[in-house]
Amino acid sequence: MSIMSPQVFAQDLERREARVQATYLTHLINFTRWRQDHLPSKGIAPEILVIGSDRNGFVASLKYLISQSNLEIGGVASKLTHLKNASSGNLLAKLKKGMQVVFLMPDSSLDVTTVRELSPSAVIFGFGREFVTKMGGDVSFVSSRNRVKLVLSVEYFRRTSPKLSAKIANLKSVVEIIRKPRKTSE
Amino acid sequence: MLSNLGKYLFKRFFIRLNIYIVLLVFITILAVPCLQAEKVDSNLSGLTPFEKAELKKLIELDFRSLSNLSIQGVLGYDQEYWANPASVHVIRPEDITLFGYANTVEALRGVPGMHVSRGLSYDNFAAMRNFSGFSPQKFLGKIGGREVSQLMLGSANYSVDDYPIAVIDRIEVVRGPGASIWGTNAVNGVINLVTKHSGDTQGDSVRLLAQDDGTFMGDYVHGGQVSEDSFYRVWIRDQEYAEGSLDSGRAARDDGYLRKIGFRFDKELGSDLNFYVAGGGAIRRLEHTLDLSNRLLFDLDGSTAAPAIRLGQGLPAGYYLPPVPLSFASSGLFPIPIGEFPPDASYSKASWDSISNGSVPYPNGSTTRLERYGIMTNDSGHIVSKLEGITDFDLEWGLTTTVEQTDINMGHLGFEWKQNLYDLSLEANRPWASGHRLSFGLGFRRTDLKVNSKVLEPFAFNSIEDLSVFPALTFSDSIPVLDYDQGFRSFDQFTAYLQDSINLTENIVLSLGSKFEKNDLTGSGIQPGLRGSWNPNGSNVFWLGYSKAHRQPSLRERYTTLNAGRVWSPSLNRWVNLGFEGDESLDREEIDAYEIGWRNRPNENFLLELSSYYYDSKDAVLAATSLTSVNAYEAKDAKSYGGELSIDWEVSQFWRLRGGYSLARGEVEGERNFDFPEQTASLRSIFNYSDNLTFTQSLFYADETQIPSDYNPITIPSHLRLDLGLVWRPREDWEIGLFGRDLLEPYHLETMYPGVDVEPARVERTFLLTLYKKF
Repeated sequence: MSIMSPQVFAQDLERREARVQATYLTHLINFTRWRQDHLPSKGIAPEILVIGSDRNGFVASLKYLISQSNLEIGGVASKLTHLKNASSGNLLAKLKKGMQVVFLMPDSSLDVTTVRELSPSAVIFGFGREFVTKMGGDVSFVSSRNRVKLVLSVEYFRRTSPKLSAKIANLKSVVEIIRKPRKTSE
Repeated sequence: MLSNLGKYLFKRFFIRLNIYIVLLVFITILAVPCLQAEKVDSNLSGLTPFEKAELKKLIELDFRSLSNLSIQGVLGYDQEYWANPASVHVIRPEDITLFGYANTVEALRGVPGMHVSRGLSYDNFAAMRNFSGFSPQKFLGKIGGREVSQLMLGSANYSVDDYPIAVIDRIEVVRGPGASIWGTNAVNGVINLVTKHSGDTQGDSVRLLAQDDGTFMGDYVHGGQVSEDSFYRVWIRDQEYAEGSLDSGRAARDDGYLRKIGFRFDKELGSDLNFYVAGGGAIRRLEHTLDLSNRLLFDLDGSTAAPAIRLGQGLPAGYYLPPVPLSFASSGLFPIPIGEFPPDASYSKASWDSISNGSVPYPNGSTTRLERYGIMTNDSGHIVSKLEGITDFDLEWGLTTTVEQTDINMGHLGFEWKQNLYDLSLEANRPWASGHRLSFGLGFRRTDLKVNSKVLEPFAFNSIEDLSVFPALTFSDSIPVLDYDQGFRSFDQFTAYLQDSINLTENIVLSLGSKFEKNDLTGSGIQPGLRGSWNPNGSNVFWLGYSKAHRQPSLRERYTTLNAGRVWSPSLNRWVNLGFEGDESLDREEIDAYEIGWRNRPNENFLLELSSYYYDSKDAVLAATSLTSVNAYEAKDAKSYGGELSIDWEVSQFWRLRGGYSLARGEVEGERNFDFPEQTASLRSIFNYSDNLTFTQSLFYADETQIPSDYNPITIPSHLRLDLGLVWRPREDWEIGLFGRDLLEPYHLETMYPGVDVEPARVERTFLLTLYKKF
């Protein structure tokens, strides 16, 4: 017997998932190194860009964690920007400036390939295993079995920048590492 | 009918228990403005104070902990979930190291509603919300995945069952019965010490603690990786206890040691399939005393001088005169003819004289202090293994096996038991409809015992074993102090539980379930529980709970005869054994426990929790209080009620305050009981002066308590304890701490074991130096 509306209950769980995802993201940024030319000029804050709508408090959680942990990228305090898909011109211009982290929400108007072309300095986050296995993203969150798990692309460890610390590679039992993303048939 | 029910409930909760009135007024005053507070729009982008506070905890977790975090929790298991309808307090390792505690049990002092007191021989007694000062047996102790309470005494020794701080993840203290999951003996609550995955303890860690009185504790933990998905750790600990002092200033003769080793091996067998095996062993040697001052007695009532004694004391003719110590009777206070006293050879007078040690207070005078010392040994070893996983159908399950051997020899009492314990349990949970999470489990436990009793030397003289079988009297010179009925040496216990955690609405969470148990001690029983919480906005949670909890009597209470002393009968011209049998008819205690609580978080930096409880116990097992009792223990109806208030306030980025206040009252058959402090309070401060320098301060207050005794009741005065500490971190993984304890007075008293100890030990002002190298 279900007394509670499934939507309301699901939203409660999704909000908790979003908080865990925001925490993962904060940790991963702490374990990532960027080459100097992948960081903004002196005086400009490195940027984390979230693209798409957020209904579960992910952006607010991330903003809160950034303020609490004084999250730095390349030794400089980072800045969070959230752009819903409305102004694509603004969005593309921002990406061309070079983001350090880009998080694609499920309804993001941009795909991984576009973001990678416009902003090669960015670690690209998204949702679902296929985001890494097929779409070429760096990191994705997978929710199953009452847990939030990480799926990481091996490229994130191998390339020179942005590069994830090898310490995370040792947590293979905790994170799933995708050796080689498969090309999509499209 | 409803009106009558309402009156009954009103009388029961709000009139008869004046504490409820106070708490209700308090709740109302504070709750109204909070309920009227602007509701946080949690549906969109805003975060509630509870969510912000959760994020602050999440950011402290590593990848492994995050990947194991349940999204939908099970009420009763997911202790830190803010909507959990129970009083929960979580102790982190830093709560232990920043205050310089050697053992985890010392950190329980800061938990509102708990009373930790140190007795002789470094035994720490942890009691919770109780009408009985010796209530360690009334809550359930789970340490490192295994239940540590012993069937014989029904209690655990938290000083022995301990781990190095470096391997402890957290200690969850649940106040109040969680009968539907935790089951029998979780009457007052649960202490659950959770250890870390060995993958989180890689490298080396050392902790050394030296006290100015010579007490020393050191442990070393080493963790390594066997393969990509398997990890291990091993550890050793040595604790050397310096000799303390008794209240009178005499040496306590309680120096000794505790040595422990342990290991854990973790392996990830597959995606969401994990296995670990952990084990350990301990050896403890400490001297204990046995008070014999009131154990060699003279039967005044059987003396020809009885009429004159009654007359002299102003007592009516025929008034029963209880036995008094032989030395007291022979001190010349009473007109007893010399010929009525026992001949020296009849009771090995030389042996008794050799253990006399001054005098001890006795009603209207004093008597010879007689005490016997003996080594108490506590050797134990255990292995726990757990296989756990999650299926594609979201079924989370865990299969745990435990094998444990314990050998405890109470050398001062001449009583030893060896216990082999085998435990197998399955715990599982899964969602089964939108908003429901069902948890269930099965368990089987076998306990085998081997019990030996020895006759203590001063008692090795001929006595009538049992005067009640007159005229068919039997005589013996081999009557031990504690004599176990050898007919009861093997015990089985089957358990099962079922609980549903239900999200009734967006704001209301309910848990409903029951534990079913069948055991060889008390038969079958059902322990239902109902808990619910209401989260009207993002800042408040109100909760309530009802549980029917059981406690099974210990083997000591049911099957052990206490031969408390020998009485010289001038009329029989013989010694008579004074025996109190265990009571095989003692049934389980049944407690109806009602709780209410309020959790308020106006912002992420401030948490206020208020809880109140009322326990109605049927057949509570308590020590018999009269020398004329047949049994050592008797069942009585009891009540306990009270409340706790706690705050956790991050005043600024640099300063955190945690405080608690508890009011606890107990009644046994209508009589107030004072062996648990009515009021306790604590205030702890952590001030980070700089990134690497922290000042800590603790204030603890406990009301006066009374330790009952058959001849020499002791009052433990109220005490206020101030501890200060300075912790310096020269490097990120090193901590050096300097601590001062009990700085307000040279010493204070906390507790003693009535009938065994003659007087309480001093808890003295001490200074400690700690050195801690973290992983």
